[in-house]
Amino acid sequence: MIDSKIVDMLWSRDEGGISECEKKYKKYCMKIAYRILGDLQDSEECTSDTFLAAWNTIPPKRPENLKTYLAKLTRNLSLNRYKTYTAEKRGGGAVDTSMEEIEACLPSRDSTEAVVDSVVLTDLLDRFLAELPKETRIMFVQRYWYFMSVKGIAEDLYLTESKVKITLMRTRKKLAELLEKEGFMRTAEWR
Amino acid sequence: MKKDDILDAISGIKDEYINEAVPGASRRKSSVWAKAGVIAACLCLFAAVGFLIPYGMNKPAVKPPVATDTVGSGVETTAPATNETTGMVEDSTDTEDVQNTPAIGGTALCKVHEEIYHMVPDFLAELRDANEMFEWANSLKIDESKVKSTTECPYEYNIKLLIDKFGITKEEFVEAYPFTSAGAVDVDLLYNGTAEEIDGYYRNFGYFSIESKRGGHYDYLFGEIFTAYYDEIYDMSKNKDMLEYIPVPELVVMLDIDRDELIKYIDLATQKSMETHGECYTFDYDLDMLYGADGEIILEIDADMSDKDIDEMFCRVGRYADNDVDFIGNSNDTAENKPAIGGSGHCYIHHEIYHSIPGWLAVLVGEDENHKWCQELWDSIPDSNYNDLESCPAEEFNIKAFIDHFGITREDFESVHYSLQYCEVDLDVLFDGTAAEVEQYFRNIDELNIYGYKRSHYGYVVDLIRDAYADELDKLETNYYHGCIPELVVMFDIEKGELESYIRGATEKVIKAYDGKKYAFDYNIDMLYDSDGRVKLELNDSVNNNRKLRNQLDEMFCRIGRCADNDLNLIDNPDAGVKDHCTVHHTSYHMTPAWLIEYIGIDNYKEWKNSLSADGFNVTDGCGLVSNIKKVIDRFDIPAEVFTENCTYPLDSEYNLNLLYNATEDEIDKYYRKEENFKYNVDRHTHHAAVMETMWFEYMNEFRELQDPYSSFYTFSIPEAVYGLNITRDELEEIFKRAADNCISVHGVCYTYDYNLEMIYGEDGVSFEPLEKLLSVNEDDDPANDISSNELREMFCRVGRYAE
Repeated sequence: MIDSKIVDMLWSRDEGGISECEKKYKKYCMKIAYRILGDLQDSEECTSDTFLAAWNTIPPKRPENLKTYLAKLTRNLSLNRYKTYTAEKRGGGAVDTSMEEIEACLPSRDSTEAVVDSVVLTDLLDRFLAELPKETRIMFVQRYWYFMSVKGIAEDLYLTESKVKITLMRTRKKLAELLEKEGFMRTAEWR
Repeated sequence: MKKDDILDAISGIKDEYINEAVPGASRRKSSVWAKAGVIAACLCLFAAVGFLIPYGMNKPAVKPPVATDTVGSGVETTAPATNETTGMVEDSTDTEDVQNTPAIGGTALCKVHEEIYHMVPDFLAELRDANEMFEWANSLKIDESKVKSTTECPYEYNIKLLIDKFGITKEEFVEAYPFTSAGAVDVDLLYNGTAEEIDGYYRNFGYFSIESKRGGHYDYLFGEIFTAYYDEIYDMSKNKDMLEYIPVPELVVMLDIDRDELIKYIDLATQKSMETHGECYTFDYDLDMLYGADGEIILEIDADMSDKDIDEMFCRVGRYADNDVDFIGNSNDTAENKPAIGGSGHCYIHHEIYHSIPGWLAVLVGEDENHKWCQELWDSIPDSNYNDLESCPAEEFNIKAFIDHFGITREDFESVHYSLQYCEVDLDVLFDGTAAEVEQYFRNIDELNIYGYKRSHYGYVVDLIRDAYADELDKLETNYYHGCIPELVVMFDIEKGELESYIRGATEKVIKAYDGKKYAFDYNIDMLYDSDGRVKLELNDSVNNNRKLRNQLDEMFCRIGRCADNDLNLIDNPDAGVKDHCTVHHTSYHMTPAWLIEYIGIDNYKEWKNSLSADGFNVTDGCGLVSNIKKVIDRFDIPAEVFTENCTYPLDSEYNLNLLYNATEDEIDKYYRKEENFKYNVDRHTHHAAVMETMWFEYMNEFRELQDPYSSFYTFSIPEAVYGLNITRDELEEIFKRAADNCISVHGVCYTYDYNLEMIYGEDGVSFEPLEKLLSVNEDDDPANDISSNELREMFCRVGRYAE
């Protein structure tokens, strides 16, 4: 079934919309959740929460792109759960690894921390992504939004792992330079 | 800054980027249109060697920008310019000021010339003062009124002017230009032709579409090797910032790549070309110059040979079939220069398709097999044949022979071909006719050409639609290169009258192009629209990236002939339009909110909903839905208080309770038909949501404490948030402004509620006296009597009756 019809069903409070959502996007949402949580049961719960959240929010929201809407819900719910687990010292998924890479392009911990305006930062990231070559942008988003492994990205894009690694490294460097230039970082240190 | 800050910021990136990167999504973005194919191939080609410098930057570049992603990663790799201020790569989309648009090759702006015509290639820039060159090029005008025109060029600048201005000699040019520009530059013409001739030459997309595509394949080949040996090649390069270009034969020697491995990379390049462009043209790579009979590498590279010499020998570019560099520079089109596969140009008896093996067809049999077959036949043709214009020079070399030789079935053929591009051919004849019948059939050049002219009409219609919706196409989450009119109509909800105006526009162009003849398909408009001229066609997801289904759509729409029957497999609901849909009321008329269903009871609601029958219901005026909010209220006797208690203001502000409870059914029906009654509600909601988002980002940690950790949504109102976070009136007004800016940047407009700041702040704009009074209105300590978030929200937004 096409997405607009599913949204119509949800909008008119037809529970069939949820079934259609599950039928079409469960696997997709599961993958997103699993990459973050690394646990099947947790991922299933998060995915169920996603569809419930979709039911609760449509209406009033009427997403133009259902797939992305569900992806965002899943990611948010999974990250929330992930953060709780991290606080409880439970093991996480690929988030740590991905974020460690990003962290490496941030200032060292003892440097003065700037107060971050996240709206501006997101806007900056959007601009940054817009100006990347498409393939590089896909790599970046797959790594830091979808938390995919380097190997997974390489397979997905028909590239070698080294190509992916190097491109990501260069892209992070470019991002760090931009962040520094825009005043988000006092110092840029590289490891 | 902490990693969480980045994590949060990444969470909010645009949907289009998230969607674009969906793991496991097919990356096959095929390009039906020759132009698009050429452009992509060229970009890829040029980026690989990093020799192009985009023209059109506002400021002179300090140094030539380089291909940041270097080579081999595929089509999207370009040589972007670097903005000196931000260090960011310049955006080449059309949303920027025209003068700021680097527009690699100008293709983003100029739709009439081949891209290289408007470029400042760095192989030329290196011959003179590059900065001076860029400054001059940038000083020339771009006519905004001609941007993206399909008939007029917006650029004053062109490569001929550059050569003349800086006195670059032909010798200098020939010495400097790299192999990969082969096919994109006719040096003789460039130096000896008139401005008009050169202009005309660069309008010839057909020519470039073959030559550049071959160059594109070579670039993919280079890219595959580069990707596989990235570290080694990177180590070899002296300049780590801008990797050197190394010809493939040289790479083979240095990296000790054996024949099978090289063939693998050639196949991968073919695959990439097919995936990216939907077709593939290649050079006739001379593997024998690299490998001996037992597969050992035999090539010895002479130190005096340039990269270009090596490339040309390996690729056997056109006339250089023999491994003899002496041929270089000979541009005479003699019989020895046998035309490459893919269009005869030498046969005056048959329609050119007869002697063409399209790339998409060759893929069915494999690159090697295809080449072997073609080469054997080609070699067997006596050169003298080319001198006789009265007979076919290559009788054995034809599409029918190819199909028969490889046993290609019609089904296989139809699974890969672009029907519109191949609509000249009657497949019944091709597959069921004898060789003689097929040969005879292809002698009807004039008749067959008519389909080509009709196809031109179709192409013009597509061009006009693409021009009209260029911005929307640019914003698409996936690259849409397909020119399928029915798909475009559905995608952009193009009304019948509008489509007809495009068809008329295309007809004018055809008349001009074909001496007054009105060639066009007999478009099946009725398959697209209902009787009121609204789009009724609905396409399901299976059409995406499915060539066969797109072909069917095209064929149904164009009524090409052999597929005139409407195969409805790809259409979800051919009768869609009115039945089961409503096109006249505001959506909220037919919507039952979750809290109302909860109040009614889901089972009761479903039972009632199922009992509604469309029998006897007249679908006459665009509304095909039986239920509506008034019916729900009446059926379940819902008191107005249920709305006031449960509505999530301002989100539910579409409900006009005075009307719903006091007006007649007809009046309510009419109210929900008026678009203006609901025009700004969504925009106001958007601003309200943006305010919450902005506060969330501004006061992230404190906000989280107010928020349910497992909820992505806010349960508290703006007044509560303001009070909890101790936000002053000035700060809140600044947040409003930022939210408004954000809305405008995304949606182009911003409408807001008439926010009631006086209910929160005292006169000093800091104290919360009025709000505190409201919050402590309940003196009996009964939580049930507390003012709810919803009530606060409604009062703050002054929704409806709280407008004062």
